[in-house]
Amino acid sequence: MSRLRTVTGKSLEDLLSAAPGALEADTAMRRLLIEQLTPRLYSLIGVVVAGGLGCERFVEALRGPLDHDLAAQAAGDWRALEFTAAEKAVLAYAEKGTVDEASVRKRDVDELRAAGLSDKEVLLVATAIAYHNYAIRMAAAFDVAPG
Amino acid sequence: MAVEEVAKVISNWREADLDDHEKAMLSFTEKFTLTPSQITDTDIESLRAAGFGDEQILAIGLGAGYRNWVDRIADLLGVEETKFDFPEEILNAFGVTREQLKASLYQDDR
Repeated sequence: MSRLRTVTGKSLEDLLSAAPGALEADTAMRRLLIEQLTPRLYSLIGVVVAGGLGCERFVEALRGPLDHDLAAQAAGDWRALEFTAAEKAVLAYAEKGTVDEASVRKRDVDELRAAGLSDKEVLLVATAIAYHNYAIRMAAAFDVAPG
Repeated sequence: MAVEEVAKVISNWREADLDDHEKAMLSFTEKFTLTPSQITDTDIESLRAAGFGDEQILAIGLGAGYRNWVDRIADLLGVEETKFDFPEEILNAFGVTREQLKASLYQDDR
């Protein structure tokens, strides 16, 4: 049961179903990001955002296709792990965009481009970072599992 | 809301001329934004004690979540705010100059 008496489930979907339109919007956004970014990159961004917010308890719910240990380590210190140059650039952007978003500058976007990301991919990555920052906060506030 | 009141809310909402209902909402919103992992049942109970029902509490969460989403995209992509001509009091409350506000991510080379 969530922290709201009117929501009996334990997932973000259960919570959002109590707000007309919210679940549909959330589901559409999540599907789009997973399809266009790949499930792996979407999940990697999620676990790094969770780590940045001190919400490591959600890593299991966010890990998707990622190995359990990899996801847990990525939430703690993704720099200690082996990733492609593009993944490293995305995770650095996700970390900064979570813990110190006001300090993001053009050079951070340039790092993504240098790693091979197109403008559309930069937009999708930024949207995924922002989405996870929203969804994980909702999950933490109402004690439900993020999707 | 007058410009001076908005500036006060931005710089220090606890000292602003807000009622207990509004202050309870902003206290939750601040924690939701800065330290979401530290939210407990007590924070939700504080909203209930201030008179909010479950539906309103969920709406507060969604509102705070939405702002965290949209403002983050703006920060990440350097979206320039050109729609509003912010008064001096608001800029001061945020601690930025008009020149800094105009310098978008894609115009400067910081």
